[in-house]
Amino acid sequence: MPAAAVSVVLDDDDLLREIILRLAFPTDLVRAAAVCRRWLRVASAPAFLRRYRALHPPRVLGLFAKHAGGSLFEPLPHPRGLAAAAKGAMLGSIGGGEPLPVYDCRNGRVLMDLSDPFDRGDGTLAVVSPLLHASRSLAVLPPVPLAARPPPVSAMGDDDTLLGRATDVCILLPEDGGDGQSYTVVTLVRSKRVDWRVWWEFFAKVSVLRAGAWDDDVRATAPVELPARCRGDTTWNRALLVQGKLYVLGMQSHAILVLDLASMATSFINLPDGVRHEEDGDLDLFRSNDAGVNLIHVNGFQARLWRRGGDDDDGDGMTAGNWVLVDDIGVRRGFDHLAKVGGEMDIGGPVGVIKVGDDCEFMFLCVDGDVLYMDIRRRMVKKIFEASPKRGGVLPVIHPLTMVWPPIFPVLE
Amino acid sequence: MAAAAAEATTDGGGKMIILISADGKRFEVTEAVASQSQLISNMIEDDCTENGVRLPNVDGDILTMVVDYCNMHAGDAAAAGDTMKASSTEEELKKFDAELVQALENPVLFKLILAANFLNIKSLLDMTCQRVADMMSGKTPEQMRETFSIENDFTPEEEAAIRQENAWAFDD
Repeated sequence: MPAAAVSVVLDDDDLLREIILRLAFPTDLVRAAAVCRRWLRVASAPAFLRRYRALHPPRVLGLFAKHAGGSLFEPLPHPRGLAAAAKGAMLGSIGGGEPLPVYDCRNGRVLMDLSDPFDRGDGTLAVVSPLLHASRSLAVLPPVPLAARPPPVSAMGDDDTLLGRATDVCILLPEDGGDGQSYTVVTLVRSKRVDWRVWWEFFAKVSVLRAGAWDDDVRATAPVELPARCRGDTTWNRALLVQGKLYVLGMQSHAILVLDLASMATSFINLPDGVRHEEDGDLDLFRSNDAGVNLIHVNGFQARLWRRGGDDDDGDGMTAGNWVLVDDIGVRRGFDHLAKVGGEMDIGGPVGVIKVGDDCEFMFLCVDGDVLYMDIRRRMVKKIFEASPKRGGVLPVIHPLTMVWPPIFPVLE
Repeated sequence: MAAAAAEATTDGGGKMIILISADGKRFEVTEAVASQSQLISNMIEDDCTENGVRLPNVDGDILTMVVDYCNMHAGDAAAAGDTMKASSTEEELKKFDAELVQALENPVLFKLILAANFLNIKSLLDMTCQRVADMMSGKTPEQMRETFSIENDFTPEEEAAIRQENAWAFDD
């Protein structure tokens, strides 16, 4: 009987489930699933995986940070349990140390520009998945049709660090990172203006690559008149793809542009009362687990999180925000912690938000030009880069590389 | 230690009940202490603890640990209104839990899981399951099988498929 206690416990699916639910890292979970068939069955149940994901959100392994001409991978210090994955991410950083432009990064997949560095316009894009098996870690995509191509990166000044800042182009991976063969290119085209600064109308064109082939035509929306308060020097510079809808933040505006990629319908959502997108770094959009659209507003040392309620489009194309304030994070508290663990912190300057992770599990902030990584759940801040005088007031572009989720388990007979 | 803790809570806990282990050992605890077990809490509600509670699948040595644990943690609920007291015992509790869990090895750890599961004591089940998870952490599938004497019933192709699909989880 004594030795049998182990097998009585582990033979009980409910108890086994409670145990493997508490494995700190998905690497451990996958290895547990590889123990035997029954463990695989327990570990691969969708309800179990949902619980696991909620308890252990995917960690950030590192980030692609924009340098002149492209982005380089910078690993973040990671817990030991993620060693295997982090090693994979490092081995997978391609380009032989050469910076390559990164357009998007989702679920361990990186959308990169592999075209000739002297002629980025040839449209060779690739989905690089450094964490996946070597046989599936690189998918070179067919060239982007001319009509959908972003302008050559070389044509963008050094300050145009945010893709889309000057050009309003978004190239995005689907939310789950995709199958390595699909992505969406959205270009906002300004079509009518009052004078050289004030744009009146624009339209969006959308090209979709599905299963390795481009949809036959580049679709375009009807011309959209900008809401009165968005007609200034608005650039649409932060984009988020959630359930087939693209949400874009317009700088110097009170509104978010929404583009339904299926119906090509466009609409605007008002920002919460009193919130305005004054400058890059005060707002960002992020997804929540349940596919909701959320907004972060950084003001001084307060980060306010807003969640969008139901989608009650009232028909005139402009919906009230229905924003609900869900959290108020003291950024300074995180900094205090950093100071405690030895980092020298001078936090005189303004705080800008560079990137917020899904569910606001983490964010990258810019303070006095320094780039900081803030782990919200663990209330931890880490300095990634020192201030670079070259940048001036421009926020760096960062694409975090997170762990792949969920694991892919084979279906046994 | 168990006796001292029990005494400290007697004033708040009220009625005493008797728990009887599989090998006939008897433990006298307050209802407040015993109620951390959802199973016993339900029995108290149903008024069927009069003649002692027989626990035919919990050995005396394991029940000793469970009663110790419950005595220590009875303060949680009882002292909830008294913040000073709660904060002063929090550190002790953490230390107690850490020491208890660290000391747990095969097979006592697994017997304690079975007892916590049977008695339905959520916090103890959480803690002991976490300990097993920590034991598994960083191990390869082969090492896990060895540790827990589990037979590999995958075909080589099936095992290779898991590794290939989730290359990020494996060092090789």
